[in-house]
Amino acid sequence: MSIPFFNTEIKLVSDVIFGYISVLLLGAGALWFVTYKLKWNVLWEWMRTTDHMKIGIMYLLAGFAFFLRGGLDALFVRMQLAFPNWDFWVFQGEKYNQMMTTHGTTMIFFVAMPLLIGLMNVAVPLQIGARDLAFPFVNSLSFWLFLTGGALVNISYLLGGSPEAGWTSYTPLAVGGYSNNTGNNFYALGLQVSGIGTILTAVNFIVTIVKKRAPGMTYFRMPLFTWGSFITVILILFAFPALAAGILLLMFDNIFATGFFTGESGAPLLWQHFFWIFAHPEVYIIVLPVFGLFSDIISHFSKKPVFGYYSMVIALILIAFLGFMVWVHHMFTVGYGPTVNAIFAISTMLIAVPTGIKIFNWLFTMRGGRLRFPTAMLFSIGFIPTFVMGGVTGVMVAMVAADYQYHDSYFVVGHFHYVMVGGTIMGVFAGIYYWMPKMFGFLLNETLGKIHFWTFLIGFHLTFFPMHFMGLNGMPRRVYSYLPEDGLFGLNFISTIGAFIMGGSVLLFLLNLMYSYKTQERRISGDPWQGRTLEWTLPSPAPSERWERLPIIKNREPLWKAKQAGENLMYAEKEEKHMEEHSSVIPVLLAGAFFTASFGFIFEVFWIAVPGIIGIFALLAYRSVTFDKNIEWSGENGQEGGNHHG
Amino acid sequence: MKSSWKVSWLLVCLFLTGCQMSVLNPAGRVAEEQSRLIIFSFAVMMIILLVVFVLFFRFLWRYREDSRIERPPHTQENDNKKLEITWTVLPLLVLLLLAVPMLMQTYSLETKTTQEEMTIEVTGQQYWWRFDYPDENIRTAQELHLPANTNITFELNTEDVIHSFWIPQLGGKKDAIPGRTNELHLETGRPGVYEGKCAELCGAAHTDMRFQVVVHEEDDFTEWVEAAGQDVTPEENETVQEEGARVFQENCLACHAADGAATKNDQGPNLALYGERDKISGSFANDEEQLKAFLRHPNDFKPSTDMPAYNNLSREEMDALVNYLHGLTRENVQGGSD
Amino acid sequence: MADSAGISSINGRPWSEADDRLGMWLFIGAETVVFLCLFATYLALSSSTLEGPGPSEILELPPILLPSALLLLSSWTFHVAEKGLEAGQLKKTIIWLGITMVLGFAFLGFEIHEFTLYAAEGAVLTESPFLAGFFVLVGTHGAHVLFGSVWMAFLLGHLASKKIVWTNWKRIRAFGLYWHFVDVVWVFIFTIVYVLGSQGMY
Repeated sequence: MSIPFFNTEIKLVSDVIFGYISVLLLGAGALWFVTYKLKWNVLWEWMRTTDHMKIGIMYLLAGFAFFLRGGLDALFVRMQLAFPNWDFWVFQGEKYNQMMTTHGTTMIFFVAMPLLIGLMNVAVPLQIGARDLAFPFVNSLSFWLFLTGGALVNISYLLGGSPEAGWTSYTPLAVGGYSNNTGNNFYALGLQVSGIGTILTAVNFIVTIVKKRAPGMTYFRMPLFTWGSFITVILILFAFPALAAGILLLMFDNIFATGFFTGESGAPLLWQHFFWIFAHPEVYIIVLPVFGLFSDIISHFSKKPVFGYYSMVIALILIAFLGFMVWVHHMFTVGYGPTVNAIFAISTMLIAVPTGIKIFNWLFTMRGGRLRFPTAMLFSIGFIPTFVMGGVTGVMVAMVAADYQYHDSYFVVGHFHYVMVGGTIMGVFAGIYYWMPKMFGFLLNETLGKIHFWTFLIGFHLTFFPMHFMGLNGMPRRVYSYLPEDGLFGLNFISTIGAFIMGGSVLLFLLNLMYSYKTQERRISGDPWQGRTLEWTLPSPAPSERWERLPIIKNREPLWKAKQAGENLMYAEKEEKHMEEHSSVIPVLLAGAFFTASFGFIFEVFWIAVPGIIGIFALLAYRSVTFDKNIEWSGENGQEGGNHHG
Repeated sequence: MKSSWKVSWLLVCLFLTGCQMSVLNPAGRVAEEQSRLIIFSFAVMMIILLVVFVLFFRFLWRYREDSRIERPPHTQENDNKKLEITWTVLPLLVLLLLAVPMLMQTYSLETKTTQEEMTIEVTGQQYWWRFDYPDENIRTAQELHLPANTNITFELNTEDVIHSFWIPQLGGKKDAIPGRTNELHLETGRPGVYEGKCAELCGAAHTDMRFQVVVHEEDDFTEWVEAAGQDVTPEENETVQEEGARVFQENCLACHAADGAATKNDQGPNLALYGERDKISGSFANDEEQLKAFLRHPNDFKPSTDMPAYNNLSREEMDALVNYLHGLTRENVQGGSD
Repeated sequence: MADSAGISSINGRPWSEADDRLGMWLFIGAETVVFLCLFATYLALSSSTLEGPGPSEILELPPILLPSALLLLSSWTFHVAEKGLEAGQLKKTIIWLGITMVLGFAFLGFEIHEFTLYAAEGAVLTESPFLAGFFVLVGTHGAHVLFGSVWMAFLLGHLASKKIVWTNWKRIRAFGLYWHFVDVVWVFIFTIVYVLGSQGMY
């Protein structure tokens, strides 16, 4: 049975019906939760909030929800690949491609990015002693735009089909009717909307870190997590616009029938350039903040300052710099000839040097320390061998001549999951265990945490280690099946088992969240781990008036040094004035307008798209007109404010 | 730590399966060089991994909180120029060690060798490969026949989206991209049957865009070329005696030719010497039962294939058709020319 | 404190530089990458003209000179308006900002006229990749001019109702960067698309 829906149709088959039922159940559950547990006014307050901590928590929650969705996709994929010539449910052919595409797109854009931006929102202002981000309103807008983009990509499955050209969306497959056009539009608009939010986030964080540091907090006194975040947002600022331009053209090709990337007269490889000029830095975007985070955590639980602080910072900068000049290594097999390939291979291999510096610095941070192993530290040390394994396979795939064999095979799939799951996801878990008290005022249960860590680590290696051998045994990427005589069954079966162990481990983490919420002591001390950096000087959870008076920073580890000297931290005089902005519902409304406009473009229904666009500009105009009323001057001379000109 | 036994266990797995893995089991010079480079880089990387793992577990164990060990001042330092320079320079040297053979091979792979050159035009399309032999003036599809110990240049083209031509046991892959012709140089070695694949996502049946590579002894190859070039495709409107040929003419001919001499009827894969093929569509065993099932419901085998379902054929017609297709062998073709 | 730098003063009283200006600089950095990509697309596809006209057949230099001059002039008029703002002269600011806005809209008028002429010749977006690249590049710039011109209308409204206050000052300072950037992009479009294109240089 199929229902016509604008320019497409919704085929009501078992998996789509399953999708609708789960959406209805989840929706009903959310409604019940909000009505009976949370109260609508709390939700209303959070929707309008411009507070960095609350926005950070919302990023983490939304990112985690998408993580469950992306994980479910992964389990479907692994089920389909568990046995040779296997037909699991409907996930062959197009449906498999839809699952695989949504998995990749969701995990990169709507899991890795928001989880990290969430942690950055939670911790960066606390680490540098800022009252909030430079543009709290824009921060809220960024969050809602990300959520809108994520929602668009995720509802596609129920509204005529998901994108099916891979998260890389290579042209001409993704244009001109070679694959599901509705899906490609969902991809383009979803990423465009969330991408705008991400670029705004980058601007916001750079200005915050440049302008809002507490007195005495020089660049080289910032904790390494802030440094990692700083470099990351700079990467975002210059990488995401390339994607935005590429996607704009992709959208023109699919909606207005231009021929930018078509095979006949366009330039299909141009898309690959735009995509990888964005997507290679993206890899560093999602790993540099966790590099910083691991530095902080390892130093913290080794009871030692981080080893080689300056070389850590220089390594971050070098990685970011080199990260922009290696994108062609994703295109080694397009036939650009040996010289181009050799140049990009060398630049790629060079990235191993700063990465190596970081690895050895982490190891030598532990040397001579007094190592404690709470879950946050376990994830950090679990990361080191895992990431080194991903790093060495990275050097291997950088070697052009050999890469002709690895390219687009499961070897590469194994490699990038080692760095992304082993880096980003383990980093996010570490960060959540670490900063939980700052967010909610309680610690997560350590026993469950340790089980979570070990099951995750074991499941992870079981899942992804065999993939290297699948690749060496000739299994291409993105295939939905293999033949019994291919000799791939054993490896795939192990991998599927591992995936389910990881899935169980993530559920265990959910359980830990709920269990700890019920049982753990509330409002523990501000410094439950004997910390070293500024965020641990605040109470747990961090109060909404975070810094009444800003701290004066005299060294890199203000709390640790103060504790050792038996002194209290020094605080500055209250500033003359600072501007505060009230919470606002405009970001949510703007996101709604973006959703409407995108929806119209996706189904090429311009009577929906045009009101959406008008809505966007009307809301911007409204914001411009009401801005002066929405701000307030606080501080000693607060009343006088900015209006001191007659 | 638990991960250590896990790693060693998996390493054992590697050695057990390594000798069977197609990339590391080359059947030609190019693949052999590449596998050597892979093993070399793997060995170098294992050394690095070992260094890191040793330091890692040593520090974890020695400096755990309840360890009573003394922590001398030099372990307490926050930086150490000498150490930091060491682990900047040493990796650079290791990279240099890797880069030299890599660069040499990268350039040598792209240079044509002049001796015993053979050119094959490869055309990818959703979801099959067409192979043209310009010198021999024949064409086939889904099954690539090559002479042993020969340098071969593949000219890669595509009719629709991007595909990637990959024969793991003969060497690395290269993409077929709309609007350009890429050249891939490989060299065959010992005779045998190898798997070929499309490595770039090209749509719903990307998985099934496979082909078989048959490497023949020199004489055998010449024989194959001759037989494949025999004209056996029934002409349109011609009255054919044989029932199978008739069914083929009525149902298949519009898209498929039954011999390698034909240059028309090329909408679908060429079926030259189909009776000798191991696999249907490069993927499924070419036995009577599977072939019938495939003809009746090709979509079950290859999602989104252009081939229509032939479940309207009577049982007798289907028998005759399969009989005809399986009769397309060297023996029959050479013997019973019309 | 970190943001004590950048003090500007109006009527002898210091107004601290707002964060908006740094934010706008960064935003312009991102926009630069977008335009670089669009330029790259335009150049890469400039020979893919199919049945449609090529660059030298459709692009003409003389008709574009006047709108280019108007847009360049608007950067100068804006500068005068900003000077007036620094001096606390409300009327001068409003007049010159108004002129800038009119120039922006005039440029847009010429651009729309130009596009309709092309469309009348059958040179539309879907005709060829070259034309698509042209329309998307020049059109994206035009959209920026439109956005900036409407923005100026709002700035004028703010100035008229709230006079010269800190919020208006920071708005205009941030807008200035945007407007000059849009102008600079036009210089590149003028040179690469119109001058080189009309001479058939690629």
